[in-house]
This record gives sequence, C-alpha cells and structure tokens, in this order.
Amino acid sequence: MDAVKNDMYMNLSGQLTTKAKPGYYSAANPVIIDIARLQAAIDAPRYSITEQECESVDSIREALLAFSI
Amino acid sequence: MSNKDKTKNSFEFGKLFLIEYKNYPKDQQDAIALFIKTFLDHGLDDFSNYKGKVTYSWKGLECDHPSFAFTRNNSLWHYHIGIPDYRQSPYFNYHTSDYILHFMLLCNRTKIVLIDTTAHYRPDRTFWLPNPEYLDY
Repeated sequence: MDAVKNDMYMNLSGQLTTKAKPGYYSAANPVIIDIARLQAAIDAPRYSITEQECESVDSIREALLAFSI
Repeated sequence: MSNKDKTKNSFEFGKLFLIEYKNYPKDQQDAIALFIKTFLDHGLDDFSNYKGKVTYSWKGLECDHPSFAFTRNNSLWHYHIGIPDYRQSPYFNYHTSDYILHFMLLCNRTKIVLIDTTAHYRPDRTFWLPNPEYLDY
C-alpha cells in the first residue's frame, strides 16, 4: 500500500477535503529567536522566600512587603 | 530518601499582585498571609484546614461560558479570605466573604501563584475575575 501522502481533515464548513502536508522542516520557514529577550528572561530575578520566613503569618507578610519595596 | 515523600508546597505571586499587596489594609495582608501559611503546611487536599471556602473558579460554568476557558486553562481558583468578615454558609461547612483571593493552582496542586484580590461579584452580580494582565508572574 502506498504511504498516505495527504492529510484529510474537516474544514470549517464540515466538508471533507484534502490538502498537501505542510513542510514541517522546511528551510523556507526558519524560526527566529529573539536572543536578547530570551537572555533577559533567563537573567530575571526570581523572588524566593526562605523556610524561616514561612514560619508564621507575620513573617510571610513581612517577606511579601519586603519584595514590594 | 523514599520516593514516596510528599512534594513540598510552594507559592509565587503575580507581578501586579506584589505591587498592590503593600497597599492592602493590614487585615487583608494578614488574611492572605494566613492562607499562604495554611497552604504551605497542609496543601489543598483537605479543605477543612481552611476557614473560608476554596474552590476552582470554573465551577458551575458550562463549557461554552465565556469565562470557562479563561479560568480552566489558567487553573484559576479562589479563596474567601474573610474580608470584611466571614459568614457561615447555611448549607455547607465553610464560610464565605465579600472579598476573595484569586490564585492559580499548578504543579499537580503543589504550587499556587497569587494573582489578585477582588470582590466576589461585580455590581451586575457577575463573578469578578482577575484581568489577564494579573496572570503575569
């Protein structure tokens, strides 16, 4: 049996149709990465609260307020 | 160490939530901190650890309701924080309040991300959901 070359799927109107499979790895559609934005996300500080700060309601409140300054 | 050890509960907070938290009244700050403490100690496996009602925010919504996708896809829950006060539910064993704390429940229910504090209902009696920009953490 020949390999299936086309995908069949329902279009918006509900009719069966066929369309050639897209070129998933086509060099004509390169992925562009914003390196600067990616690096900024990696370098962004992550707030963390210590276990000691989580020991009581007051300490949690104070820790959150400290981050807010 | 056993591989059956319970995962530690953790929390984070949205960027806008953190900015606004410092302007909350102290009783509201304390109520939120108490919720955090309770979650860190007990998680959400047993709601009886919480005085206020805690539930997922798509509860009771039909799948085609405009808010269903937003709440479900972002794992939005809310907790009644007791501001200005708690009222005992006449039907169930929990308390409700006018103000609620919105949070995302993530990582197999071991992590919460605090999003916003709002009234439970808008003036038109629709459920008051947080704005999407508050979900940025």
